[in-house]
Amino acid sequence: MSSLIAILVDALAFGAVYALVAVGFSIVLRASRVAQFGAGYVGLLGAVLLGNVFSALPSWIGLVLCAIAGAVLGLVFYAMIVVGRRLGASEVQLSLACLAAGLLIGAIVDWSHNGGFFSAGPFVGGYFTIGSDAVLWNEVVTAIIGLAVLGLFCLVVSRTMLGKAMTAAAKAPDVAAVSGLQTSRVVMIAWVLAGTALLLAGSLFGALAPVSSNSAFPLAIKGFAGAVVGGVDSPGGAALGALLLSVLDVLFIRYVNASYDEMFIFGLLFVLLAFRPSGLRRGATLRLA
Amino acid sequence: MRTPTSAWWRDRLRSPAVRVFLGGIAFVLVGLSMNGDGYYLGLYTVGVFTYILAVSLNLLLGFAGLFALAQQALFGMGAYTIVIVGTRVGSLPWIVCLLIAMAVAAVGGLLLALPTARLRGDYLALATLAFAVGCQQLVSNWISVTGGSSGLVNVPTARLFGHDIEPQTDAFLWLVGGAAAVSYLWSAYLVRSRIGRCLHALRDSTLATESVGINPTVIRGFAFAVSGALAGLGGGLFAAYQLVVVPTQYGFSLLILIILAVLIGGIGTDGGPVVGAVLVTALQRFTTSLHPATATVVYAAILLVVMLSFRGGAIGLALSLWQRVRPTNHAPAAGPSWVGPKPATADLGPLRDGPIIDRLAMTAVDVVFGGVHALTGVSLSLRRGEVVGLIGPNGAGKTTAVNAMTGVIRPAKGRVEVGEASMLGRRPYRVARMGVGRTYQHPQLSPGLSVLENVMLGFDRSARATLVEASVHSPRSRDDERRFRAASAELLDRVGAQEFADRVAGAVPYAVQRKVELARVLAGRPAFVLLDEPAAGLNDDERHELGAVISSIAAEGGPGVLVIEHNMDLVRQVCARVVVLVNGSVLLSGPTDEVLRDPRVVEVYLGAHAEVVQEQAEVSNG
Amino acid sequence: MAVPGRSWRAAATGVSAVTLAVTMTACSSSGGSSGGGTGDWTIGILMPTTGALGALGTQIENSTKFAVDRINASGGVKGHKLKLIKYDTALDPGTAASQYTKGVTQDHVLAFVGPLTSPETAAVIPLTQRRHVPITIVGATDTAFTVPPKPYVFRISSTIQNDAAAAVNYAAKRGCERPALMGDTAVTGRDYMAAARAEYKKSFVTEQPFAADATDLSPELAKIRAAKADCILLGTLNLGAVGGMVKKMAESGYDIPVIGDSALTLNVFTGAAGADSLAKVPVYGTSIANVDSSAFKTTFAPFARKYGGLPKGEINPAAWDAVHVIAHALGETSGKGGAALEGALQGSSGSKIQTLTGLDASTNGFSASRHDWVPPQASRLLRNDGTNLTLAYQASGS
Repeated sequence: MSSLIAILVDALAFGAVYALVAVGFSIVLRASRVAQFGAGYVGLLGAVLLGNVFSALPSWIGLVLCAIAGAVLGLVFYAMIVVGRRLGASEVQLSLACLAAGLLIGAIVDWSHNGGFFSAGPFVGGYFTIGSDAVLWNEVVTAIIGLAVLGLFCLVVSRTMLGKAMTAAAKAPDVAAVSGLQTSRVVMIAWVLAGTALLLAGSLFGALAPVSSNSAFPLAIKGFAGAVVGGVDSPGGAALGALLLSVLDVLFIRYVNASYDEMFIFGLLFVLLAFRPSGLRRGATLRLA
Repeated sequence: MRTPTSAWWRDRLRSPAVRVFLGGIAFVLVGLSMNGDGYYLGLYTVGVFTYILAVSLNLLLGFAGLFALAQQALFGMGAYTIVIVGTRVGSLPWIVCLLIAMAVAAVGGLLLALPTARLRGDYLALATLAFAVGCQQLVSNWISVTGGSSGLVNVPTARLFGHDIEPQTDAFLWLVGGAAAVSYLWSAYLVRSRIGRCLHALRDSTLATESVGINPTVIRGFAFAVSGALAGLGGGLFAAYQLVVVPTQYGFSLLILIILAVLIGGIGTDGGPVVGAVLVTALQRFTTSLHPATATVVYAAILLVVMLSFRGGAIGLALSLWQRVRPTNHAPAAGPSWVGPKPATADLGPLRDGPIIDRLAMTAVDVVFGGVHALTGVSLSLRRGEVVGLIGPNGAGKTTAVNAMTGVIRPAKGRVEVGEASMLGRRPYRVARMGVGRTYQHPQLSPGLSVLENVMLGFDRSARATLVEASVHSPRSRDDERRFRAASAELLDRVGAQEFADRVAGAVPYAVQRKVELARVLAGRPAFVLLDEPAAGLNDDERHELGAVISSIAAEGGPGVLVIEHNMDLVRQVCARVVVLVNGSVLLSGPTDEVLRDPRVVEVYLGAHAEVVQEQAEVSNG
Repeated sequence: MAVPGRSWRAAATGVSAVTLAVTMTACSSSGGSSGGGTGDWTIGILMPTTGALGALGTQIENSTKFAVDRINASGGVKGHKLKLIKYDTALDPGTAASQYTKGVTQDHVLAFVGPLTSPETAAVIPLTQRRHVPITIVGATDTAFTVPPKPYVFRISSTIQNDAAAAVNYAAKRGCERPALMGDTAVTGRDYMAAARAEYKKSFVTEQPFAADATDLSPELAKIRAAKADCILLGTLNLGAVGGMVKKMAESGYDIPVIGDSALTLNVFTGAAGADSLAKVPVYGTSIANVDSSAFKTTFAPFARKYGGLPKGEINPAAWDAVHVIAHALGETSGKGGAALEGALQGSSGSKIQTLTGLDASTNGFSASRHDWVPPQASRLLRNDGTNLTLAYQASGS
């Protein structure tokens, strides 16, 4: 029973990371119908920034700077999408373009580290024991930071005028445009927010475990999976889905089989996509075409 | 104008057999020029592997428009299977092991397809990615079978006709070349068959194609299976080439390479994979001396540029240049778009075997969207041979009612029946096969196919040749195509659009598109035809002709027709009975004249009716 | 479907197509290039100098270069200089095989230093049987490669059996009564765990296998802690996960010794774990370097001066030995490769060659029945404290 707390902390810390990826992915998918396949690499950059570039500064300043960097990177991606649209690229192509851009980022990171591992450092040291389990304070703090950022994002999307504007622009762009909404500006903000979420996700990930360029893919795919489980079209749902998946994942590793957890998660995802593509929420019964 | 001879050559050059023959000659010549040098033979062989993989992915990504990202997993399945089967099952000939590898990978493809055949692009991508990641973990951990992350090292050498075929030799190159030819032929014939036609149409609109009776899961599943088989063929041969099978070689980086090859060469073309494989192999050769990070930068930069701007790839570019040099004339013929309808003598034959279905009915149907009732207690019936009108103001729920009757929407309450059979919960293609055809408010033709090909889609389910036969251009499938062509031409004749038969459907006039859509529906010899605002966008003459066509369809044992319409002249012309839908409920139904004179109906239509009267007044004055 | 083109795109495609055609024809016709100037004997380095183990590959490459430069500076081998060509395998077996063939057919390489890892080696071995150009494995520990000995396949590194045995015996020497055993599910881990079991003969308090690509070992660590182990024996190449585990151990005050294989002496691992953690948690890795020999000490300084760019700038003794063994054998055959070289290699012994590995020169050597340079007792355990490697245990000296 005591180990359950340790497990929960683990799940929430990593879960918050995957949830941030899920949220970033979902926001952009809703706004542009483009899949941000470069998400993992943006996260990788976040770990590099917090762990190497900003390592001399206090962690909280580092995180704020990372958030700004993420926003800037989101803008860059948005510019790329605009250029691509103007050149007539389809959504599939733009999604792959995001992947390509991500690979570029990954290659730059690789270059500077020659493929080795690095870490964004623990935020705090120390631990406390529960029974025979040791729980690191770092994980607790990371979980809190992650969930706080997550909550902030979801609040922005669902409560603010900006967030509602994003929803409107996503669901009915023509109507939105006619109502005086500057759709393109809203889409741009969506990408900026997504960039921030994804970069911060990576920064937090780097604080939890050593990271290398190979970490980009697993980081992203668990975020994507979470988004699909919770309902890709809603950032809040996506975040919850990712948190749920993380808990299931950790439980599976601990109590069932440590080697096959990804198969379990993705098997679940696959089944879900086959029978309920809109996620676990109750939704309309219109068939997807 | 083109001379007959050059057109003849052009047709010959389009044939896959000719292309593979010419390609084969080029392939052999280049191979011989290597002079047995092991290193260059090796590079060339790897290039051919890239080609086979590009062909297999092109089938899905290019021709079927399916964003499938698991090709590397199917390739890996082929590689692992041939080794596992070869080392565990004692005395199987190598070629049998290869065939088993292909079969296993084909099943893998099928597994991928079954749940995802209806998914929208980004979901399909995620599902296939998840599949690939799951496979990777399985391979890494099922150590007793796959050797885990260290892989398998005792790979049996390729062996044909009693001779061992070593890697990096001429013999191996010819073997792989043969496999490449098989891959090309199978893929090319498949794409040119009815399967290719269905894939194209499904890509343009899954729903509209389903309502012609085509089952997306079967068609796409088959494409996935063939794609898997080809990837498995490549994988099995690759194992015999590498003589070691490790999971890292079947991972994400291979996927990037294949995607690059397909896209840079020219997606959805025959030549694309060739160009793509050549360019990617050359790229690999040039980047081996670079730091992998630099190499990745090169790949990623190229992928980025190609993704954003090079939509047609190298082939598309070449084609567009050719277009500039030798423009072809695609302008539609001038003249009236409607030619008068032919008399309704063409007998489409008995509708189907078995009991004749004489009634289509929805009873007390409720349709609810997010808490809002779009339809409440709607009942509607249609008999064979009668023409019924469905009218009502905009937003009344007319299209929703038709959607409920064709399986596009599942009612929350009520019954929908064709004859005695319930259609509730059936997929749209099943409903179509039960004898219910429909058109849409905006014609849902497949714009990239020709008019004739669009109508041929309607005959798809009466094909006698199986999918496999169709994919290899068997005599029976060629016979099917001939029959479909003739019958489609006849139908086009019947609706008066025969002169547009070979035009690209996206380029013909709107009115013609409506006719073609109708012909396509009729091809299925439906018991009931539901037309959604067929007269929208037509002028008076065209509308009158349309009315004549509708009446002729329903006459003498023909299908029952439901017409959703706003234009009362047409309704009066063809409908014996009218149902009035207002705010999701039936206001009134009965004989046309009675209903249209009813004061409640006049009130509902006051604005619209007055406009029609106004228009007629202006026309007769002006 | 046609896309409106722009002239620069046309140019780009045209240029690349022409370049490709020209390159392919140019390359196929240049297949007769000689292996170097008159009298030069060509050795190839088949290493992953880029990628996850790139630092290690580069270290080996530098050590090889250093050895070759030394030999050439003192007049070469029987008056012939040695020429060194580098082939990067990028840790991919396919590339390793292709580069091997390239070296053999294009550059007339007579022998290779490398490959490094087991999958690369597995891909190259079948080619060696056909091409008859010997390889000297520097790193891969899969015993099956040299036991039983295969022609043209030699090894100058430890085997996983020896590493595991050394670890078990050191643990006993330190007084560990409750050892825990960990290993990944790849060949390295599995073989390590099997060898450790065979050597220990008793039961470990817990055995924790983990996925070869795992990123977080907290569950396993928790179970080890729950079993109250007092040391951990570990066989894996998953440096990231182990580095994270050591970090977590340091942060949670769980500082029992971690005794592993040669992976724990690598700079990559030190980076993953962090010097601070390694100062707190005693971590030991195996090595066959004869760090106390005078030969080692005299080569260390100049190497560090020249290649000191590496974090620890230490020479790789196996690579050094490989060069000297090959050079000596080439001297015997007067530059002939193939079967003659194979025979000469099989006659190599440490007493004739300047060797930095093993216990003392006399116990090193190849023969017809032994293609492993160092004897089993040569395994050593070095403590990696984040800044230095110091000798902690030697198998033979116990």
